[in-house]
Amino acid sequence: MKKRRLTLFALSFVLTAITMQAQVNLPLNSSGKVEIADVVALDSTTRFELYDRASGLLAELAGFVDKFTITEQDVISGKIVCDMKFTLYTNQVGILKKEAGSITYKLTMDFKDNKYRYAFTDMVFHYIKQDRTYKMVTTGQTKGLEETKAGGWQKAWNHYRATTSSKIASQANVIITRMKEKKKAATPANAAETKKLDW
Amino acid sequence: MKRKLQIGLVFAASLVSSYTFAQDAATAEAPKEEKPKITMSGYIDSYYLTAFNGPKSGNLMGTGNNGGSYFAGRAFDRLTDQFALGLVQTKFAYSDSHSDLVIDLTFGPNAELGNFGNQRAMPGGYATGFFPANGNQNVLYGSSAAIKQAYFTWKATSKLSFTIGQFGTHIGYEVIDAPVNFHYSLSNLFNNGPFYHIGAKANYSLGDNASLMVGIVNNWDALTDWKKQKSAIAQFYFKPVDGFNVYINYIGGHNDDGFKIPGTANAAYSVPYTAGYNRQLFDITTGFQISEKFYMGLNAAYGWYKFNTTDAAEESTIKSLYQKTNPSWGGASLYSSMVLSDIFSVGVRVEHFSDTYGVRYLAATNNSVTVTVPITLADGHVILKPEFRADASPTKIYEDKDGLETNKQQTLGMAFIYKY
Repeated sequence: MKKRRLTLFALSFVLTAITMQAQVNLPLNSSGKVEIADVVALDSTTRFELYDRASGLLAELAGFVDKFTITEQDVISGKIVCDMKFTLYTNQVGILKKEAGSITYKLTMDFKDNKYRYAFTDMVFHYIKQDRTYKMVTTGQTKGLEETKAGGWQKAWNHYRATTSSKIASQANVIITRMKEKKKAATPANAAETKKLDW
Repeated sequence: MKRKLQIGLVFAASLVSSYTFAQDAATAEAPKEEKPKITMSGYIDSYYLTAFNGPKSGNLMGTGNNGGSYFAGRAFDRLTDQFALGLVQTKFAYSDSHSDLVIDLTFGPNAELGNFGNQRAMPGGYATGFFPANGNQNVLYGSSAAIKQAYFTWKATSKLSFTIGQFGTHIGYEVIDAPVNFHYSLSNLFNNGPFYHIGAKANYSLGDNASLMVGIVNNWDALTDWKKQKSAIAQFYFKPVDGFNVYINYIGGHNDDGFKIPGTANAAYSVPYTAGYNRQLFDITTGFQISEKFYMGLNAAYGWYKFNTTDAAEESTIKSLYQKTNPSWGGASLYSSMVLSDIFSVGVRVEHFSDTYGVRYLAATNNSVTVTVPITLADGHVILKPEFRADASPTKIYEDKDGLETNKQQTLGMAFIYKY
């Protein structure tokens, strides 16, 4: 009996661990859409200076994705908007690893004196299929990353959401780090505030 | 039929003339160097189906038409009331910034049927074409039936590429690969068109939304060539709007049918061919993603032979076989499919096919409706395809439970596909 209880406990522990590993919690905004955003303070910097710094790090952000398009870059309004796209691969390994779809999303950066805001939004998975010439082509079908269920391909879907989350976290880290580094070079005494700010 | 083709070509031409090659908006794309990569993929498929006409022979090939010479009611999934193996594929691909290499090896019943021209003979003793007179026929044909595709592409520039080897035909909507097609059973347009070619082709990109391919190939569906003249192939692809793809295809050649080799008495015929001929085939294949979940496709083809008879005897021979010296064949197939959920989708294929002169394999006119409900499981690795298909022909080409000829055939079955 004790052995059975121990086995059940171990099994439930393993299942819980697997489930926790599989689940990816992507933050949702008030509209129920995935949004990874933050407002970061950098004292004693004008919005023009922040805009220049952000413009300088776009090339580095582009290195994370397959397609990087600047759709708006306006110093007057203090805004940069970029569309990004990267290819997803199956979670197979080695030569079995194949294209599985793509993710598109948007980065919006706004600048005010002493602070800036970044927001990754509009995250959409694009289905692909093999056409009659054996090339992978988009089907036109899409699935928002806020959806957590994927009947018949849940494991793959969890993998794609996790991959997207990880990639965007890396890009957010680049934004925060590079913006801060330049700030340090200019005025080393100022440190970025860690508490959440209102825009 | 010609009128239908003319209407189709006028429609296609109007699309081309009204089409402007849009320039992409200015973008700041990150330049990416393509690293060399090797991928391996493949699939296996099998099926189980039953026929409501209950053919006595246990297969769906029908009783044969054209004097009982042809049996092509259903070309691939032809066995009833038993588990049947379709095809086993192992495909290797190498790709880098300057080249692509594809080695597509297939085994099993459908591989043998699809590659019938790479064998010395089909089951039943039907010769499949020309065999060079030498002492090494078995060596020449030994493993060739396993090669579905073997080619490489050299990307000479970002727009121009050259391909050489054995490759799947550019003609038509469907392919042999069960995971790629929506329906499991194959259309008569597919069954009666070319499957593959051995030759060379060049592809030139006309921007993101159009391309042109031209090439020369040995013939249709044959490992070796029996003549000096090569067949010409061409394809013009364009995309009027996102999600709408149009392929206009052509193949034409001289004496390029392995079953109609002048000077030989093919086993499928009782008379030797003496007259040469030219054969042309035009095909249009389109697909339109109407909405996120609804897709429609159209395939139409029209082809003809022009026998160059030199005397009354030749003309009489040809007319005794095909009624006229310029027999034609063709058809149209309309596809529609809808995604119901991540697991389920449903699609319908409606096809009209005409080979009333018996120049292709069906040798009859046929109408069919196919309804398929693919079920996708296991992260897309497993695809189940329940399918109902109804065929009807004014000619009695199908077989009933007593082994007699009948006009209709209905099947209900399930295909089991695993891909990796």
